[in-house]
Amino acid sequence: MATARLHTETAEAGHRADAHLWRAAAWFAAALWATYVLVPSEHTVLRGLVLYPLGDVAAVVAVVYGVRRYRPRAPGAWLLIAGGLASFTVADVMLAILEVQGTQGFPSVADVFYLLAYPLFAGGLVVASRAGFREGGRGTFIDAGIITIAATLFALLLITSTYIADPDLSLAAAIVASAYPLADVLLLAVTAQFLLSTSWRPLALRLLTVSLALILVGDIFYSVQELYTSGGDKRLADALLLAGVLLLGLAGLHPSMTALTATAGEVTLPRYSVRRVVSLYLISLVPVVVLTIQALTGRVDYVWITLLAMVAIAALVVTRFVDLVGRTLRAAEREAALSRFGSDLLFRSGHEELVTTAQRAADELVPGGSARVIEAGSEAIDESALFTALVVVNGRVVGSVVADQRLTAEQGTQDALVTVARGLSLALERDSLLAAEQATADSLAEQNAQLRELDRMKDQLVSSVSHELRTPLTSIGGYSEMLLGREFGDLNHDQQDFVEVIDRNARRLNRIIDDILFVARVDAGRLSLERSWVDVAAVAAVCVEAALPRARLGELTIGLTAPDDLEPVWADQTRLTQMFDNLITNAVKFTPPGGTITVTLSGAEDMVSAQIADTGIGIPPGEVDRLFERFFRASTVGAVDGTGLGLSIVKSIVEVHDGTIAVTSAEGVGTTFTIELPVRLPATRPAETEAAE
Amino acid sequence: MSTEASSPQPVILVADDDEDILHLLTFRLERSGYTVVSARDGEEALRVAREHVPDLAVLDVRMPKLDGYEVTRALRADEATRRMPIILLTAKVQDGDVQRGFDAGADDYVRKPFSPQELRSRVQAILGRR
Repeated sequence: MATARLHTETAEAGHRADAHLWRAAAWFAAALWATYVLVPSEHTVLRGLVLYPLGDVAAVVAVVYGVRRYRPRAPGAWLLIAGGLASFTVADVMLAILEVQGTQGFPSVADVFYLLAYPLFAGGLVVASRAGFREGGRGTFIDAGIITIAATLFALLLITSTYIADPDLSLAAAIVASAYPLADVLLLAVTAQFLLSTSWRPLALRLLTVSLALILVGDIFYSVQELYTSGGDKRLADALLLAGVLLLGLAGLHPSMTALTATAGEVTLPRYSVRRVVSLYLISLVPVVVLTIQALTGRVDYVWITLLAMVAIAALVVTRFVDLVGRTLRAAEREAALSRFGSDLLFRSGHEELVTTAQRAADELVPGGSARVIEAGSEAIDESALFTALVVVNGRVVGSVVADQRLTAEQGTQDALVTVARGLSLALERDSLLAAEQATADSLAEQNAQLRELDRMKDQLVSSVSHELRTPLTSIGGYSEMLLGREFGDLNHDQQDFVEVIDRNARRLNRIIDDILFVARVDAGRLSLERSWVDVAAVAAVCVEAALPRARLGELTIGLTAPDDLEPVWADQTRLTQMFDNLITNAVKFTPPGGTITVTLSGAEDMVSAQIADTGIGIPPGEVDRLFERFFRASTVGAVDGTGLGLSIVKSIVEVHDGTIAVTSAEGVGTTFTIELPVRLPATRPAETEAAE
Repeated sequence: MSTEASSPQPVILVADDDEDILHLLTFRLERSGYTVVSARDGEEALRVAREHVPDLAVLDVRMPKLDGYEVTRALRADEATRRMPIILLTAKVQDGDVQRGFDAGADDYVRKPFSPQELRSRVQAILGRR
């Protein structure tokens, strides 16, 4: 990983300082180079002993400074490159001294140092490659191989062979002269492979590329001039070489120099752009070009080398193809493994099984079996050597899928492992959701069971209470009735009165029990209605009739008005009777002597209205709203007895028939209840609850 | 004590676990000219019914050992007692219970508290028809 830095203010300042330094160095390099180029070649001392070496030294210093300042991983890479530059420096100084002395010969000690630089450069790039884990891409090696073979052929046939064939050259000279192109080829090979497998974006790497290119081109110019123009002005070559050296120094000085040895993470496949394919094709045609040149110049030597080169290139191309196919097949295998994984996940559940499925998939994806699924905290993970994909469930990291970094370098493997991790995360989440749902469902089922049990117990209670209360009442009422019937002996006046009291109260108690149980059933939603087409007028008439004795006792007038053609209502006759009874009884109870009670019925479209009006004591204004509350009794009831359930029952009956009830009252004047009942059931009424057994 | 004309007094079985009600019923019916046999629980009721084969049975629905419905069903299942008129007494309020009574095979259903006079009228009505 590239060294990450916290961006504090001091670091920001540091960055700016680095940028300034680099710009200054760039200006310096440009100035130096321009000076070297512009100064005429007569000034050998200036050029050879001052400017050139100065450039070399500056480059070395720059790279070393860069290493110390930016602390890249595997600093050995840059240091080897610096070593190469130092070697150049020594060689240049030596050569300049020899030139000045006039004893420059070929080969010389300087050549050794020159040649030494190339392996050092190459070595630096090789170290960089290894450090950055870039070795996954076999394709890049093959491409580089093709380039190298072409270059080697070029170097051997067009340059080296000339030296070897030259009788004027000593053996040492021939060897050294041949060595240069070969050293170039070595550097080219390594550079090509390195560059093909990395991204060129960081500026330092671009500068590195250009500088190496300039050095190589400079060398080619040098060799060509040596061979075909025999000596002559090497200014162009020197300028190119100097530029290359300076740029190399600048590359090492730039903050992005750390990218040289940064881990690539994953090898990017060579892009199959048209440009690249065409370039490789052209390069692989070099043997043909060489043969053509040889034919044109009439010097057809070493055909066997050319043929060998063509065979080698062909082999590489085929290998490339096989490699590609292999890659494709592996990609297909990964696909298959992932889709097997996907479908397995759908069918499995439970933590253990899911993890095992993920482990299996990971094993299939990473050859060599180094992939593992590990739980969080179960072992320490060496982050630097392992690729990790986190398994996150409900926002918590519960584990990770890890694999050896090196084995996951092939493109697609890491993505696949991430997919495995994600798949596992989702499956585990789904699992936990299902478990939660199941738990909720279970708890609901339990609650339901409990509620049903409570309901059942309530029913039983109501039933028992009813029985327990009514049984003694039966005796009280029954014996009173028998006494009053005088079949078992006569009663004197007082005895008669007393027994009547007992009887009356027994009835009253019975009515109260009825009311309470009625209300209990309404509460439980257990009120069942036996509906039929009810003549409301008839029902009202019966209730009014029943109330006449009491009304007469209280010196009240009670009357009923109803139209002849009143529509029958689909309702429960018993309940309507109960409703009228309650309202009329109330009216009778609360109207002082001389008062009037009127029951008026009327019919409108689909509705039947009943109005029960009295000239009674009325209800205080603030209490009218609470009239229908259970057990509520107005403050003005005085000595009149009642349970406070009557009106609540009336309201329940009206509501269960989908009707409405309203009351208006004025204290001391009277009270009027108005009820409206629909003739038919509304269309969307749900089925009424049947009473439970 | 008045007796019916020439026919022997009809025998009525009365079963209830409450002593007072049992006596109430017995008084009322004996005073009206019937012979009464009584039982305090369902098992006794069934035994007495099979032994005396009464002309009518008045059974409380809630009794220990066997309840009124079960006694009714048992009587209906037995050839000797199949056609015996049965009146069930109960304090139960849910309407479903009435249906349950008739389903078991009862002929009538009287709610508690009841007027003894009214019960006598019903008994007379049923026996009068026979």
